[in-house]
Amino acid sequence: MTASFEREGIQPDRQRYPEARQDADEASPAISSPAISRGTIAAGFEVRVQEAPIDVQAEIVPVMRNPRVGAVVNFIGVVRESGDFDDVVALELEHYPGMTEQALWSIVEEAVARWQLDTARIVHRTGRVELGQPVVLVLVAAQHRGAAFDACEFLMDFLKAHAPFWKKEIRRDGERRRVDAKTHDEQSMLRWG
Amino acid sequence: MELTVRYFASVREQVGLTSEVIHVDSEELAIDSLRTTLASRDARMAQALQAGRPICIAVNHEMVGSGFVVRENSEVAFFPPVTGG
Repeated sequence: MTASFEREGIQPDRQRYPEARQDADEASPAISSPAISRGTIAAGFEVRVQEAPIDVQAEIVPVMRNPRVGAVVNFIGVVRESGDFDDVVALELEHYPGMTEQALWSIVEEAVARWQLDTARIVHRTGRVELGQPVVLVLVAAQHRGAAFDACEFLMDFLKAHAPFWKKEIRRDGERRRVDAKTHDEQSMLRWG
Repeated sequence: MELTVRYFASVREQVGLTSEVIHVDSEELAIDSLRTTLASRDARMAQALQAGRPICIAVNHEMVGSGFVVRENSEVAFFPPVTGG
């Protein structure tokens, strides 16, 4: 869920954690809800798995408007041409509905326990994602950049190692091939202790 | 107890099943025992769940080690190492 309010309504000591967890598999992301409009501020913690394309601008701009925030860091994972295959035109993503949201949520909780954050959001696509499009957006906002940089990298490392998604590469000629897990991703987790 | 077993990604493709319900007579079942039993059913299951193949196991949406023991009706999922992000 997104905690979003008009600027005048923002509470300086608002609850850090949302009351309810994000529903699984929202077909329409929160950006299409009436609460997110011009001038809206977004804050808080959210995870979302969606079939719709990720609108990076719409996700980030409301976070920047929060007057408490001095640092916003984001990571975008993008479909590229060469993976295990060359000439990739799209990825196809599968996930474990029910477990995915829970896994992403526990990753955010872990980051919140380690760093002072104002916002932490993970948005991950499922289904077919075209070349050049975002597969995942990790967005972090904090008062200062140290926490924002570190938390963003942590969230991505953790997601790569633990979130139950599986990818297939689709080649221009229609060939499909599973992407294999990389030992590099497991190793990246080790540095966080 | 009743176990709903789910398969994902390449495990699902090899097993040929999305999910199935398994009735277990005993009050507890070790997860690696479940895997061995499923693998022994036919050649297809044997290939999908063979010992030595890296398979991740989740019980009720949480990852578990192979030594985990199931003691109540649960959802058990078998899948290959994850590749999200």
